[in-house]
This record gives sequence, structure tokens and C-alpha cells, in this order.
Amino acid sequence: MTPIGWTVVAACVAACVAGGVLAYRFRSRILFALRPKRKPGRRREPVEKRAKPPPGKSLEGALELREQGRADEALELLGEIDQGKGLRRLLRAAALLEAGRDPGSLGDTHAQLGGLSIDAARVRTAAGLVVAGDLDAAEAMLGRVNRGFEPATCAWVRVSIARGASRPDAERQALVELVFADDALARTVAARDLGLSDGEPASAAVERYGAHAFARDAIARFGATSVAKLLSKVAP
Amino acid sequence: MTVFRVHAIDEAALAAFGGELAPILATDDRAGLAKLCGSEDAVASWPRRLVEVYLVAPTHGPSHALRSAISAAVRARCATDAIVLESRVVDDLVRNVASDAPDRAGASLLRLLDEARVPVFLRDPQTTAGMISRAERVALVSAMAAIDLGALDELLDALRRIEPAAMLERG
Repeated sequence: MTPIGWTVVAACVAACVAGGVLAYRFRSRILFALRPKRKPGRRREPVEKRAKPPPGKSLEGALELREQGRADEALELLGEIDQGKGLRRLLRAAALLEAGRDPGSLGDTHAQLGGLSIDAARVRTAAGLVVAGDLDAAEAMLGRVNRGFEPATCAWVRVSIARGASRPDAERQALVELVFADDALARTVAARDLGLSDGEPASAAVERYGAHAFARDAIARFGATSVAKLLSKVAP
Repeated sequence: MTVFRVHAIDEAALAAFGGELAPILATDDRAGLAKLCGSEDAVASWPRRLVEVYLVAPTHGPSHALRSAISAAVRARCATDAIVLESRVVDDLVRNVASDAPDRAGASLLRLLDEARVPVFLRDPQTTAGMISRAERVALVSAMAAIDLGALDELLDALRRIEPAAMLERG
């Protein structure tokens, strides 16, 4: 082939590559330009007039339903998402009791508490009661937890109670207990809950903080008093 | 260069110090802390609640003086026989040996790297450390005797030479 022939071939190859690159780069615009055109007179409904999609089948969905006053639907959803353990089971048992049904249908105490020990359920419920503003009930609930159980988490709840009740001496005392039990968690609580200046969550405790805070907030949103009633029933 | 030290820790004295420090922090007793640490300057230079010295980020510069003073005071009471290791005992090496060691011995070795095992008031802000109890140290030395430790031999020797609990400090 002559040099001119080679040049023509090279130019063609370069044009093809460049075209492909451009087509890939602007693929969304090309697809938009090629989309099927809507026929006149067939307009979609405005988005805002659509029915709100039902909440997802999740704990969040059940909590939203309860916040909308749809407790029966929330109980039904909790039944669907309950996998026999954890927070979902605990809240389902509480919802059953609230609805006048027997949570014993879910099994023994351990099963009703979603595999949590009674002390673990009490600590988490006490934390939920604090968020719900019922400090006396939280203190009473925490007082029933066996001494030595999860000292750091218990101290954290005591910090929250003392802070909510504006008792600085008790807050300082609880903070010292928390620091001595788990200083990484203490730093995380100080940064996130207390807004301490120069505070910084400790990476070693972020997961522990997150797990407890999630349970605390879910119980508070669900209705910590209802969970407390369940605990009074299963462990009077 | 990282220096490794093995400290012998008197657990009873450590607990007693914690028992004295806790109420001082809880009541914000500045005079009490100055007496405990033997350093009025370190306490005076910390303008916030005493307990906050352990709540701010470890990188927070102004807290270092007070933390160091408390750490020095507790070490004076309960830490002895700091054995400086000459070989380069590095964390990865300890982890590797721990993974091959019998379960309990491996767990004890890893505790020597676990800062959560060291009471917060014993820690020096300039170093990192881990700690095992006397019972754990005895069990570790016994279990590790049957294993080829290679570069960790010197660490094992140091753990043998002390009597009570042990703290491995790096810094």
C-alpha cells in the first residue's frame, strides 16, 4: 500500500476511535435525544399528586407508622420484619402488650426480649426514657440493673439523666465512672451528646456508641413507656 | 525510633490510686489533685473541669501537662522495673506470633497491645501501651515457653523477670 493509503487508513481508525469516545462521553445526552416522544394529551400526573408510597418494610417504617398514629399497622409491620431477635422483636412484644394481646405468644422471656438479657433491655429502655424526658422512670429502671452490668453504658445513661435533671455534681460523678470504665466511649459521648469543645469521637468507640444510640432512639420513638411496661410484665 | 519498655505494675497500688483519683475528679477537687500529683502548676494550667482532661481529644495539647502529671504520679506509686527491650519488638511481630500461639496465650499477647486494658490515668500521652494482669502474665510465660518466639524471646524474658502485672509501652 502506498503512504497515502496508509494515511487514509490511519485517519479512518482515528476518526472511529474519537467518535466512540465522544459517543461514550455524551451517551446520556444521546439517549435523551433519542427517547420516545410522549404523545400530545397524555401528560403524566404531577408528582405531588401521587399517593405517598407506603413506608418501607423496616423498623424505621414501623416507627413512622406509630408516629402517624397507625399503631395497628405498625404492629403488623413489626410482625413481618421480626426475625426473632434484636430490637424488632423487643418492640413487637411491647406493641403486642400495648394492643392488649399476649406477648407470651412470641415465646419465653428471652424470646420476647429479642435475645437481650433483662439487664440489657433495662439499660436500653432507661436510655430511651431519658430521651423521652421521663427521667424519674429512667432512674428507677437503671436502679434495677444488676451492679457491674455494662458499667460504661450504665454510666452513660446516668450522665444523661443527671444532665437532663440539671444536677452537675451527679453528672461529673457519672462522667468519672464512664471515663474509668471506657474512656474511648466517654470521649465519644462527650463529643456527640455533650457537645464538649475540643471533644472528638474516639474511633475505637464509634461503633459501640452507634449501636446503643440507635437502640435508645428507636425505643424513645416507639414509646419507651410501652417497653418499660413489657419489662415490668416479663420481669416484675 | 520506637522504644519498647516492659513495666511491672502493682495492681493493688494501681487500684488504690484510682480509688483516690475518682472522687477528686468527681468533686473537681483541684487542691486534692495537686497534692496527689505533687504538681500545682499542671493543675493550675488546666482551666476546665478536671474530668474533662480525659474527655477532650488525646491530641488536645493543653491537656498533656495534666495527663502527664497524673501518669507520673501513678507510675511513682505502682510501676517499677522498666525493662527496655533492645530488639525491635514491633506490633506486627506480636500479632503474628499471637496468631500462631495457643488461644489463651495469643489473647494475652494481644492484650499487651490493647490500650483499653491500661487505666486511662496510667497512660502517658506520648506513648501507647497494653497491659496484662499477673495471672495472665504467668499463664502467658508458661504457654509461650513451648513456642519458638524468634525475635520475641527478649519480650518473654522480660515478662519472666517481673513478678506482678505487666505493661508493654511503646513510644
